[in-house]
Amino acid sequence: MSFKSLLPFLLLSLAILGFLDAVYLTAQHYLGFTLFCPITGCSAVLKSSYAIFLGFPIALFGALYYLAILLGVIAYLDTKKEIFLFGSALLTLPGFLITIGLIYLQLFVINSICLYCLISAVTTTGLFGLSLPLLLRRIR
Amino acid sequence: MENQNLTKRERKELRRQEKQAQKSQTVKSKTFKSVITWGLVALGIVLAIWGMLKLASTPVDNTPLAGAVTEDDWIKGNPNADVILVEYSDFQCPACGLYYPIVKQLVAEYEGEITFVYRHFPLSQHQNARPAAYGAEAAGQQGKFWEMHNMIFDNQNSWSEASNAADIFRGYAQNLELDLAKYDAAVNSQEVKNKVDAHYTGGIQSSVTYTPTFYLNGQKIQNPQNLEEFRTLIQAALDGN
Repeated sequence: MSFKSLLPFLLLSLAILGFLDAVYLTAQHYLGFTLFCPITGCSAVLKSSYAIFLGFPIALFGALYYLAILLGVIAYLDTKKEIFLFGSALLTLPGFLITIGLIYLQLFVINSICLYCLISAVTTTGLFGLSLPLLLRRIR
Repeated sequence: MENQNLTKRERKELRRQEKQAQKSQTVKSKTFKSVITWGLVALGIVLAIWGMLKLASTPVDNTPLAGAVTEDDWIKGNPNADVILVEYSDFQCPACGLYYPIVKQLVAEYEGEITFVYRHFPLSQHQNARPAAYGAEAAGQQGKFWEMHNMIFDNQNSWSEASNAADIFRGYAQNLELDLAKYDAAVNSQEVKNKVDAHYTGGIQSSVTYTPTFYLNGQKIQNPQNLEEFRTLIQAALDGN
C-alpha cells in the first residue's frame, strides 16, 4: 500500500484516539469532582483558568476538532473527493499551533503537565505531520 | 429475433435506456453504501461518547485503606463507632473545600454513630497546602485541631493563592487564642512535618491519587455527588452492621 492510500486511515486512527481522549476529559469536566491522574499535576492543569475558554472546557473544543477531522476523512473515503481530505489536512495546522500554545502554558506558566493533554499533543502533532506533504503539494 | 425487426433508431434508443438503467443501478448501490458508512460512523461516535462517559463516571478502584485508624489520628465523633469514615484531604483543594460542609453536616447528623478521621494528603501543586496542614497540626498540639481545620476550610478562598498564607494561619491561631510561641515552634518543627509526611505516605500506600479520597469502613468509595448520596452510603454502612 502506498503512503497516499494509507494516509486517510492513519489520519482516521489518530483522530479517533484524540477524539476519545478529548471526550473523556470533557466528561470528567462535567461529571466530577474527582480526577484520576496517573501523573501528578494533571489536576493543576485541568483546574487552571487556562482549561476554560469562552465558558467551555478546552477539551470540548478538542473533541469537536477531532470530530471534524474524522468526518472529513470519512467523507473523503466515501466520495473520493480530494477536497474533503484536504479540508481535514488544513484543519491540522491550527490544531498544531494551538497545541504548541497549550504545551507552552503547561511547561512555563502552570508548571505542570497533564497526561491526557500530552496524549492529545501527540495526536495533533501526528495529524499535522502526516498532513504536511499534502498541504505542501497543494501550495506548489 | 425481434431486435432485428427494429429500426436502427429504435435499437439505439434501447441501448441508451439499458445504459441509463445500469447507471442508476450503480448510483443506487453507491448511495446505499454511503448510508451504511455514515450510519456506522454515527453509531461509532455515539458509542465512543457513551463509553467515555461511563469510564469517566466509574470509580477507579476500591483499594482498601492501608493504615488502620489509631489514637494518633484526628478523630471526630464517637471514636468507637462501628462505621468509620476516613478522608484524605488537602486544605487547598477546591473539591475538599466543597466536601467540608457536607462531611461536617454528616458528622453532626450521625453523632455517636460514626467515626470521622481526617488525614493530610497535601498535593505538590498546591503551594499552601503544606503550611495549612502544619498550622492545623500545630493547633492540634494545643487541643484545637478541629477548630483550626474548620477555620482553614471556612476561609479557603482568602488564603489559597496568598503568598503569605503562613501568616494568615498564624492569625487564625491568634483568633483561637493559642499560645503563639508554642504554635510557631510547632509549625516549624520536624515532628509536625514528619506527621504530615506519614499521613501522605499512608495515602500513597492506600493508593490515593486525588483529593478528597474517602474510605468507608476501610474501602475506598467513589466520591458521592452530594449530601444525599453521601448520607445514603453512610446509612447503608450503618444498616449493614
